[in-house]
Amino acid sequence: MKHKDISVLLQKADELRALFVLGQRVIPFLEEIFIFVSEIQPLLDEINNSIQENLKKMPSASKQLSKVTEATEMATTEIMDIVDGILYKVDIINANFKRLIDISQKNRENPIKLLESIYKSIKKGQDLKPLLPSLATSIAAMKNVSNNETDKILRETDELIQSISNDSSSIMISLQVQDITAQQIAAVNNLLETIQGKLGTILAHFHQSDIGELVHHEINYDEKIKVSQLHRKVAFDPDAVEAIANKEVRQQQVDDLIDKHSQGGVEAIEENFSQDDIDALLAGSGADEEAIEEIAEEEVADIQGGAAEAQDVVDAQEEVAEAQDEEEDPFAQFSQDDIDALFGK
Amino acid sequence: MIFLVVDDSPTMRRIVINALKTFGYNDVVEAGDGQEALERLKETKVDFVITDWNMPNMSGLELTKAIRGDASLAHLPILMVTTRGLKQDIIEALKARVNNYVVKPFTPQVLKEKLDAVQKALQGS
Repeated sequence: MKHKDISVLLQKADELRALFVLGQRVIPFLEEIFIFVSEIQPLLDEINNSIQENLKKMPSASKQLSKVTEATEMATTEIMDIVDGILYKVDIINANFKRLIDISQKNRENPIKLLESIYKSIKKGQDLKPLLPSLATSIAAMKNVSNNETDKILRETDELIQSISNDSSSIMISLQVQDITAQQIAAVNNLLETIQGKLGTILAHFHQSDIGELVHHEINYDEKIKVSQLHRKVAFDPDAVEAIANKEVRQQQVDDLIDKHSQGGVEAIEENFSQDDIDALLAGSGADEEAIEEIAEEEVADIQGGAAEAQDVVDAQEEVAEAQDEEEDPFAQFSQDDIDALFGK
Repeated sequence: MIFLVVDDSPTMRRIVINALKTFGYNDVVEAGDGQEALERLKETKVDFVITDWNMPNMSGLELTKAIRGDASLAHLPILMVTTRGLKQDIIEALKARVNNYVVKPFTPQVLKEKLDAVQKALQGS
């Protein structure tokens, strides 16, 4: 072997040694990366699941809020229509008062003219008999005005005032939408708070992990602000807004139920309405029966299992309602008649 | 006759009280939840309770159970006025022994009918 060949070999061996030294230095770093990725994977899975879960809830929240908008629009339109009607009636009442004032003036003018004529005649010592025809005409005219026109105007005005009173009651009924929409918004706030809580937990995990050290900008997040506590505490029925949509039939159905109760007690209702009613409910809907039962059972099991937070109940009701949403279920809510049927009128 | 109107919504309390006044019932006390209602019942001799269901701290259903469980109050007539109209809700209310049930939104006429029905039933019993 030539001297030149040996020096090349030594140079290559030196390069190889440098490569091994580099490898030895890189391996612990690669191990750290491996550990880091394995630790981060559950967190990324959690973030992924949470985002998916919360994204699923968003359409429901949007749907609830859009129902609130619909309900308030409907109530506002109703109230505006009623107020328009009231203003129209007030105009008629004003016109009637003007007519009554005119009639009252005429009623005063005629007797005054007549009395003046009588006064003059007596003063001049004239015979009053020639005045008798005009006296009779004036009396008849006064009676006629008094009996017919005035009475008619007063009757009409009385009816209008009664009608305005009914309109005021209708406005009061329409204003009940405030309570109903407040409950619906409270349900959405509750949902937002659940999402806030979950995102807050993820953020805490994120900052506690190694990856958190890579983030230079602190996320400005005030965990003390709870959306549901920005207003007075509102207990809510998550389906409150449905009350407006079915207001015509609900009371009727509830009354029927109460009538039945008055005849046979609670047991009778439960017997009457248990399986048959469920069958009727499901048979009438286009929803997947198994899916509904499955959702309901799963959610009920979760709730009974002790993991039940208020949101679980809301979610359960929402999911069941969504599954049933394909066709309106006339038996889901009960009217006043159902209630009457239970309690007896 | 003194009414106790229990609802966490001031709007609803006002609507119910307004309706009661048009029926000629001017003596009304009010409460924002079940707990407050129980306090009012200790202070005032109430003849009739009209309560909402969904309320913070103590619901209308819990209030009904508390009233029925108290010998000095158990006789009080209770009318539930709520948005809850599901069959299961009504059964639960009946089990708690409410005297009648009105679903929101209601008309003053329906409220009057139910008040009269409860009073008539109590007079008959």
